[in-house]
Amino acid sequence: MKRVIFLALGILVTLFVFTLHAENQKEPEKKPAPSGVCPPFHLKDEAGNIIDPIHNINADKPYSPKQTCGAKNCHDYNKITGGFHFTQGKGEKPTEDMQKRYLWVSSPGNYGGNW
Amino acid sequence: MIDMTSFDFVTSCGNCHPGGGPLEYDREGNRYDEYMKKQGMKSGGDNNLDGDYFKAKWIDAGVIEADCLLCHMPSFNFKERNKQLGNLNFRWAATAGSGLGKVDGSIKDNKPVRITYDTGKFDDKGMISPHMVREPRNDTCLQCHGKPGWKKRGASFSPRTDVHIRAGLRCVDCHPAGSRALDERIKGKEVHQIGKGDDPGGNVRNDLDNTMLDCNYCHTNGYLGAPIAKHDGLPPHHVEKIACQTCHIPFRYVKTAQVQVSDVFNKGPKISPPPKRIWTFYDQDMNYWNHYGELNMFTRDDQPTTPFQPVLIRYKGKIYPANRVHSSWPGLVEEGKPGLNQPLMKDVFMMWQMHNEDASKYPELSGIVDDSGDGMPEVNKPEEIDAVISSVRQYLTDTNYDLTGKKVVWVLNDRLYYSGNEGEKLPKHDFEASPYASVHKYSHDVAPAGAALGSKGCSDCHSRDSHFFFAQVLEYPFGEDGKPVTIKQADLLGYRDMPRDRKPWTYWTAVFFKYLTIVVMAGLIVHMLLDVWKYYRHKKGSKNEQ
Repeated sequence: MKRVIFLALGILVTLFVFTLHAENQKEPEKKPAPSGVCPPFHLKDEAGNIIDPIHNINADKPYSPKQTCGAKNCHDYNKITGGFHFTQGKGEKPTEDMQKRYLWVSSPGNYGGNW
Repeated sequence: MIDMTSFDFVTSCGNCHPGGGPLEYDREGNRYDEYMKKQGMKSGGDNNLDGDYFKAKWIDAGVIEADCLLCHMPSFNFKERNKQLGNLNFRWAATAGSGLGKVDGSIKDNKPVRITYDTGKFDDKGMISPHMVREPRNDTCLQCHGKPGWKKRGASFSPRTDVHIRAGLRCVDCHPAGSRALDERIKGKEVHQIGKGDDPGGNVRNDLDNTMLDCNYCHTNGYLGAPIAKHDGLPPHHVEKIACQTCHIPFRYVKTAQVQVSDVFNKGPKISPPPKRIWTFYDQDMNYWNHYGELNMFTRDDQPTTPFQPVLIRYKGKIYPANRVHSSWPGLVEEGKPGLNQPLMKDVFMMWQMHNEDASKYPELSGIVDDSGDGMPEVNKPEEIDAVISSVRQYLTDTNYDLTGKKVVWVLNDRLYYSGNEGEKLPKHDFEASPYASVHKYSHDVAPAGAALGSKGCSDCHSRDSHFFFAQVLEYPFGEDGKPVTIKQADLLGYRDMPRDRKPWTYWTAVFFKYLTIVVMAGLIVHMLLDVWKYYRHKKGSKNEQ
């Protein structure tokens, strides 16, 4: 009899510990479902607040591409704007030839003294 | 004295900038409007002469964030967007350009700015689903690249001039980005490094040169249905030494600015804004070209057809067709510093403006006259060079520009003049006309294969009057007589009597056999003449005997 009780207790404790461990596991973060195209979205202003002219919410503010397109789970604004079409030479040093020739130039691009 | 500030950059150059980068953040990475407010700077004030904040109105105007819809919305209204830039309504520009709302008012004119959103573009939840595309259309790219493509590269980007556009290809097919890019340097989700070629005149992100799809990739693999290039019968060293563009762009159809001078005043009509009168352009035939007047009259869509054969250069070991731009301009030598500086464009403009209104101001400028007979004055004689140098020097002195340690000079291509009779040569690359003017390869407006060099046979190039070797190409725009100074194309390409890459024994063997043939043929002719002479002499002798 004692053996049966101890066996039952052992099983119960094991189950209890296992359940506790399982509950402490974080749920893996779910990836958002792929969309392929932009779903309908709200415009947002520079502060990140929704612009909704249908319900007259914030309808006097211009929309912010950064807050709208760059919203969470949408697009990586910083990665995108690292492209050279956006930087146009900002942050780059003039080439060796340019440094030897052009005293007025501070970058190799349009921003910074191109000619 | 402050040159173009970041704020000026937006108003002057922002029309062809998609936002973000220097239109949003200063050189230290601070967002302009937020930083200006935080630092307690004054809108429109001197603000410690900081080039990012001098006379800037970021607080009122806002900044221009990267505008995704500018590229990704085919119906984006550039005109409306750029109108907002002109009104200093920076933060409202995206709303106006997208057509999502109408913007009234003007920060520049101190009129309150108001938005009226078009509720027809919103659903009942207040959301939008605008017409957006993953890959921009050609028209979008050409909004910014069309005009400089015309002026610098004689490119029309149209079905009438380019076989690829005629076939329906898009700019982004050869210039991909993001996950569609093939080159690992630019490939990646949302990476917006657009595939680029290698232009000698472009120096932004040179580490990303040749990340676009080149001719070889498509026309070897048949990518996107490209016909496979076979080049039957063409000796292999042609494709090793000569770029595809050289044979496949045998002509340009739209003129390009081969010469840009910045030392005389251009009185041509319809040049706007006025400071642009400080530039005078000449085309590839050295004809005066009122490019800005044409842009004003009929824009890029009505480019006149002006066929010409391109100049060829040797660049990074291969021969390319290119526009070697020539230049003349007043410069500044600064003691102890390499290279040259230049006076502000507005100073040169004002000097001429004042002289034109009152000839007693900077009177020496009246001595700069037209020697070439085309109706446009040019600086080419020693006294004219002296006139420019002394007038610019005087103007800068009059405007309290500190000339300590500086000398005003005049530069024509690679010639630096301290005076009309004293100068020196400046170092430059062989393919350049001037170390102070760009060289732009021609890579667009490709002709069909049937029109390529060689399609009529080897003599397209290997003949006595071929453009490839014997064309006269511009070396200096104006000699002392005002006429262009030219050199032979073969000399520009570095061809000598003995081809550079040929081993001497092959060359001399060819020369030996050539002269052997001449000697043998001459000997044969002499022998035949002697035979004839001997025959008639013998015949005469026989007659005498009879």
